[in-house]
Amino acid sequence: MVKPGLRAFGLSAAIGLIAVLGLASCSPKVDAPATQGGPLAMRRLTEAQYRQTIADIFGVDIKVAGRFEPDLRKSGLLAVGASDVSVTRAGFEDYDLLAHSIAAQVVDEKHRQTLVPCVPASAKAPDAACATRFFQKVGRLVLRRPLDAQKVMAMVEIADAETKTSGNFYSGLEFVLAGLLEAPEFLFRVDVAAPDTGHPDSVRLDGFSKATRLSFLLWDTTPDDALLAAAENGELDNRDGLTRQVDRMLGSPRLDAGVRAFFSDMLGFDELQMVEKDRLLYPRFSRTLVADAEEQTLRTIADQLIVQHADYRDLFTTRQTFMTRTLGLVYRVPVRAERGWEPFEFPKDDPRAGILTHISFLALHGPSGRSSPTLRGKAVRELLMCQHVPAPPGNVSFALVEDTKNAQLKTVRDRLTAHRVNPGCAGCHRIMDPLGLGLENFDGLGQYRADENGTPIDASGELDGAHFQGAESLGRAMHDNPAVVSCLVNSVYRYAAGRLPQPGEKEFLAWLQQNFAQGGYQLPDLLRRIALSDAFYAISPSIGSKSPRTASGASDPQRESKS
Amino acid sequence: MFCFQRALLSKRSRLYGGLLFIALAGLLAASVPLRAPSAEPATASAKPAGKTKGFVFSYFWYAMAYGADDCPDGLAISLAGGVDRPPPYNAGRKAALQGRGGIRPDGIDDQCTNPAAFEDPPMRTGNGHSAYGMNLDGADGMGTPAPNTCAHEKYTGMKGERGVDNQLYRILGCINAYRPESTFQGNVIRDFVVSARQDGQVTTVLEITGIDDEQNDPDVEVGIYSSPNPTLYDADRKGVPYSSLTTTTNPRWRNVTHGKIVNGVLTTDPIDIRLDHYPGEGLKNHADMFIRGARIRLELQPDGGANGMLAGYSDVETVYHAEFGMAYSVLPKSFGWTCPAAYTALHKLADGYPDPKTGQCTAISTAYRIEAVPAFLIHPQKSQTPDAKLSNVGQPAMPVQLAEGPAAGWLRKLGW
Repeated sequence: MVKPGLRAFGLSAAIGLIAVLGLASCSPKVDAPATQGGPLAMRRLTEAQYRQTIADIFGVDIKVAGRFEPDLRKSGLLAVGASDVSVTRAGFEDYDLLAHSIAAQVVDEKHRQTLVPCVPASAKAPDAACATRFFQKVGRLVLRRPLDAQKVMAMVEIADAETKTSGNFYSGLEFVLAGLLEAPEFLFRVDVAAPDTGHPDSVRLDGFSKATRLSFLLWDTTPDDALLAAAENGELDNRDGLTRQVDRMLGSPRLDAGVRAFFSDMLGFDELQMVEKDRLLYPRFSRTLVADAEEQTLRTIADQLIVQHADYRDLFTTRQTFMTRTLGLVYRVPVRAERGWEPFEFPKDDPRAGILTHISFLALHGPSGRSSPTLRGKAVRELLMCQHVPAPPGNVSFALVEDTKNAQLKTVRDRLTAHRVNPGCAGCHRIMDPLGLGLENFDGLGQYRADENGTPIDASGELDGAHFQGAESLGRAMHDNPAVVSCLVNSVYRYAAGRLPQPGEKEFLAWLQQNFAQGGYQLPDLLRRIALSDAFYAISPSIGSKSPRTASGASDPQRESKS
Repeated sequence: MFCFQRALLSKRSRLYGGLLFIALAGLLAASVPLRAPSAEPATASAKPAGKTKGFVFSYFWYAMAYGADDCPDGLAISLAGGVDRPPPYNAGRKAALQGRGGIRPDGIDDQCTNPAAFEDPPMRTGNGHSAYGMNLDGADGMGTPAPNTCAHEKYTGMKGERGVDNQLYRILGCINAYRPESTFQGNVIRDFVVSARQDGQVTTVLEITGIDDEQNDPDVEVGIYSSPNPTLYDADRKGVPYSSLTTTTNPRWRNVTHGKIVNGVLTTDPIDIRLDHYPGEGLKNHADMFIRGARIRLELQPDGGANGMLAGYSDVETVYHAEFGMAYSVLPKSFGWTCPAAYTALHKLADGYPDPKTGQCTAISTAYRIEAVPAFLIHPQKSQTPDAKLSNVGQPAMPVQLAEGPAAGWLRKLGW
């Protein structure tokens, strides 16, 4: 895949090819249906991934202050869009500023003692030995694979030249480190293929690409030292070694970040930053509320699925969550903790149950001044059931729906029923509205209400044949709907692979789904099964790229971009 | 009576049992890791016997009638018009204060810090007929004064009720800055105090526990507390309902009494209460609101809010420092009073809690208007470390016998 923006990366030439040697030849064996795999991918780091990567390599006190290129949502996920985005000219300037700012901090007097592994003979003159140690250590972490001697030597030469100009050894390190942080191999997760021993006509991901896929799937960050070492030793190319690493990562507290990142993507929480509500109608709305609402849902999900090992489907019925005082204002519940979070469980007779009744979902899917059963229903269909709802026709009038003070049509249900008289609208609304109307006891911000304009709200509805009465029973209908489960499996795999499933992966997805059900719908098990599968690492040279990057010498993105 | 007391005891036992349960539950909750919501969640169901209703005061300031006939002699005299000389010292009283703190050896003293060291100027006080308030002493003002009071005139209430006590209004109602037509800035003092509340500087909450019937319950417990948490307001400066507020750990600002609800109106038994008081940014530090024999009347609203009044006897020394003894003497000049005059008037008009030795009343009747929205009140585990906003009452002015007449000479110099 040609990425025009990559031509802007001048330092790529200085970094050169990354040679990968000594690859082991054993492939992990799992009892999954075989797949052909997908194309090699270059996936740009999201802002969250970039920040976490810097924190992991250099420490949390390195400030990452700057702007990032906007992410692209494709096929429902930013993770899929990341395979399609490049870096614009303006975006590269932002990355350049970030890189120099980070590099300057790494070598400043405050941090050099811990982040530079040696002390130069003179701080005013080149020291090739010390610079070599620095680039060997940092380069491996930044580029997610070890650098060969030739590459390191090139870096040292550039650093020495800068040191001679500036009279400062650390300026030389800073200059080259900034270049590393602008390199496409850092800003993008670049798949590199290796020959598949035993299958001369096939290629597969090399160990470091596997490590990167694994790390970003399970931890949403760069591979740690142990994972890179496993890749270096060839452990990721045999089943036992791969299993050891996957189980280590699944048992780590960092799985929390990985799970949060997936659900944040799947639930479209990046859109929360743009949610705005009419402050006269919803005086409790604030940016703090939005931030807490996002955190509440992600915290609930992580707690349910990782800590409590709950059935994924229970996310739609659980009354357990976490609360802050800002959230308590909207949920109208007491919160003991003056600051921070505390566990909370809605009483059994409370109308709220499941993440669909969280403020994050209810407030996100609606306009600023009213609730929208249509948008809520659309979100459930698309995000949680992976069903496509067509866009409304261009000439549709929403005047009736938006007339919240209509004297005859007092409730949203009344207004939507009138709106559906238009046959051009009725088809899609039949899919969305009955679902969303089940959440009508919650206004545009997510506050409970029993009536609208003095008329009691009818929150009954139907989901694929299952009738419900209000949000709590809607949650149970979601719990029991097979599309909810298959959507999760499909979404996790799309998220992991950064692409849509290929036609040849249908059986594999069915196998995943079957095992997910048999295992009690445990998300960590699903992640483990994907992480240990051949399909996750399989590369099909015939799809998407005619000249895959290979460990035998075609891994230079710049060279590929010229092809 | 016996049955009532036993019923009350039984109910309070349940309440205390409930509070103990809450405390234990809270301790458990505090020890539970964050990732274990099922272990001991903080649910809304952990309440004492009967229902609990919590409120936060969104408005809490004097109930002011602003009658046209409040001040027939005009507003109070202030050090305005370029005349900034204080009244002369009263040599005898100043000598009496020497060595008791606050009096500087060089003889230069702030008239607001030590108002009693100065001659007594007159205070133009109110003589109107109507005011907000309650009949605190039980007398109707037509016959014999009630025992344990000092002679005073009664107001007619704003709804025509007789025997209303509100002596403090006779002072406040005739001070320029306390009135809406103030030449400095209308209602400036009220705005200072209300803004301090809106800015989160001072918070007052009320809790009714043990409610069996929200319309009629002869036996409820009422707590009035300060809170270190800010009162939340919306963009229209209306109180936001259903916030969670932690009550103060300072036992000084925790007050509990008995009450009853009749036809949706809560009334409480008299109780001496102290609350955090903050008159506003730049005026003074946090101080006490000390009201003796305070009683509350609140109309409970269908939306969960409440409106009403708190009436009682403000401790004269405390209210002097909270209202008049500002840290900056420039304020009285602008706002329309002189400290020695206000101090003298407070003692002169005080109508409750006479000193058993001198017979001089030490507290003055007053009334506050309350507007409250529903809130969840969270009680601390135990009162151990006081809140950051400690009471800073400071050294009260040394009370002395006020037997001398007005400072006629000083007034003549001012042209009055």
